[in-house]
Amino acid sequence: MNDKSPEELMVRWMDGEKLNPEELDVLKKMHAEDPSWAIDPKEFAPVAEALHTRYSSDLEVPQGKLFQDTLMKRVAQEREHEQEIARLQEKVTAFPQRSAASFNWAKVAVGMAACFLFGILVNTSFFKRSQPTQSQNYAYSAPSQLQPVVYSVHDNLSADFLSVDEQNVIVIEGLDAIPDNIDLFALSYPAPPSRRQPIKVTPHIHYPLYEN
Amino acid sequence: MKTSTVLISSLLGLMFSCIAHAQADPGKEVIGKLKGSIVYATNSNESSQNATPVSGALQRTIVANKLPFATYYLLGTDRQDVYKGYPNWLKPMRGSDAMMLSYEPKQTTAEGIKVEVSFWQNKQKIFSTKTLTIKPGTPLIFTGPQWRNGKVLIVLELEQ
Amino acid sequence: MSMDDPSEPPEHDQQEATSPANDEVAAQERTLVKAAQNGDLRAFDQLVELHRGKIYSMIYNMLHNQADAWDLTQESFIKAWKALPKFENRSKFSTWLYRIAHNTVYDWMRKRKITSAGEFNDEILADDSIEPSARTTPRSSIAPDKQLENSELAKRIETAMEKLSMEHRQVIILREIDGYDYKEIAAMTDNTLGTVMSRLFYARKKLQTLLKNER
Repeated sequence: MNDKSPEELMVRWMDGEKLNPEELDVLKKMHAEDPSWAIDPKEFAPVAEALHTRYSSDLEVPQGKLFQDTLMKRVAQEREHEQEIARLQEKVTAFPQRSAASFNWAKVAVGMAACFLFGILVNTSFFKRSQPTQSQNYAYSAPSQLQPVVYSVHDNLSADFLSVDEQNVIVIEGLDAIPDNIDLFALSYPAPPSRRQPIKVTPHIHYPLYEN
Repeated sequence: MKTSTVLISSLLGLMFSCIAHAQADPGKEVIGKLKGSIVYATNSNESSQNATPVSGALQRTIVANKLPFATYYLLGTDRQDVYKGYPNWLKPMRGSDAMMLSYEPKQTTAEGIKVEVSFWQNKQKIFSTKTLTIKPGTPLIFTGPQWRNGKVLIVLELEQ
Repeated sequence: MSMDDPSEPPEHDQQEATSPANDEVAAQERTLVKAAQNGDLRAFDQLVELHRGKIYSMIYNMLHNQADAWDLTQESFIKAWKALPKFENRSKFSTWLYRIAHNTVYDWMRKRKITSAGEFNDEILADDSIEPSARTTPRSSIAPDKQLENSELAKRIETAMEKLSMEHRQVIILREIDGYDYKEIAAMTDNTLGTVMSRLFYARKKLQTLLKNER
């Protein structure tokens, strides 16, 4: 007995699966009732082909090395955090066993100490996560730009804040120059009626790229 | 009977108004206005009759950050709303595709708005940023590509 | 379409049978997974290198945004690392990984709140997701930032795919692009086989209709 829906049968048939006579009858019946219901494999074939021209199943991750380094750094931090939690749990459970009667006061103290230690550990490991740490088994060198400000397909692109304190100016290097023959002034909006003198700023930062 | 009728109709009215409110798209709430500008920064004496010097918050930021150029000209500006749940586009170069910015808000904070910004040239995305905070009165500036004797700066200002 | 002789299905390449080479790869992967489960970061590093391209491709094909795909690929692998102790080797590691990536993308989409009438609206750059009164709207034909074959059909395909729902787009990508079988797709997307088949049917139908209308 057929337990597959007509849609499933249609898809399987399109994909080259041999259907049994009962299943074929279902499709024939659906087609007879509504010819527009079915999908013509011959019409769909160019669609499937076009999908492959536009989409890829194995793209390379942009900045693959940075991706790998950044990810493994986070994984190493995660592992270290897990190990610290495990060590704390061991300390709490490894308290020597004594008779129940003599432990009444000790249980309270141990519980408070465990909570206190756990709180300290969580707080310190929370802030430690932002600092690079080295795992014992796996050593790698962190990339110079640990937290990229910008992403780009262009491997030669780099970005950094002009000032760490005021992170509102981002210097990007490696962009392709705009050809000189393109007149950006002509593309700009018309000047306002009242013209002011352009501001003059004395350069304070030495930029090797812009030596006169 | 009369009381129950009033009660039922009030409840129904309340229910329908709740449904209507729930169907309103919260993503289209405007949470600010972004101004995107393209600035030409140069140390040369190059100018043009179309050149407009920068002013306002942008001028103050340039002075405050001690950017290393002598002259700054405003090449183009565009203003668009910041929608809570949707990305939007800025086309400062008189609507052309020469340089465009797309942005997407991530969070509103007391300081400003956190956005991710992408810079496009001729319909190609050149770079995208991580989530950055734009504060009113403190423009976000990117030093962009080189052009002639200077650099193009891409500036985002939050106007609220 | 002719269904006069449906006993003759259209010709397709047969799926690759299990080969000694595939078995060896699978065995090596099992070794890496086991080592990673025991805390070996080098082993996990190798697993990431083996699978990052495919995970990134799947996410990028769904979102069309490099920065987001980069971030979500990272998140997926972080989640995979955390969930590694629970992986029991009953399914292929790649299937398990894809499921994590699928859930990561869906969670992210929900948080973005780009929804309409209870169905996810995945048309991030389509005109109707921007306020109509906005002075500028991105054209849906804006190409992503990678080199594409400049074919007219490829552009039309992209436009048509953007009009599919997230669920429909995903089954098309997993089946037509990545070549997974139906059961694998069901496992990756946490759906029943029937749901996957139904979505595949309607996704193909919609794509065909959209492309026919655009001619």
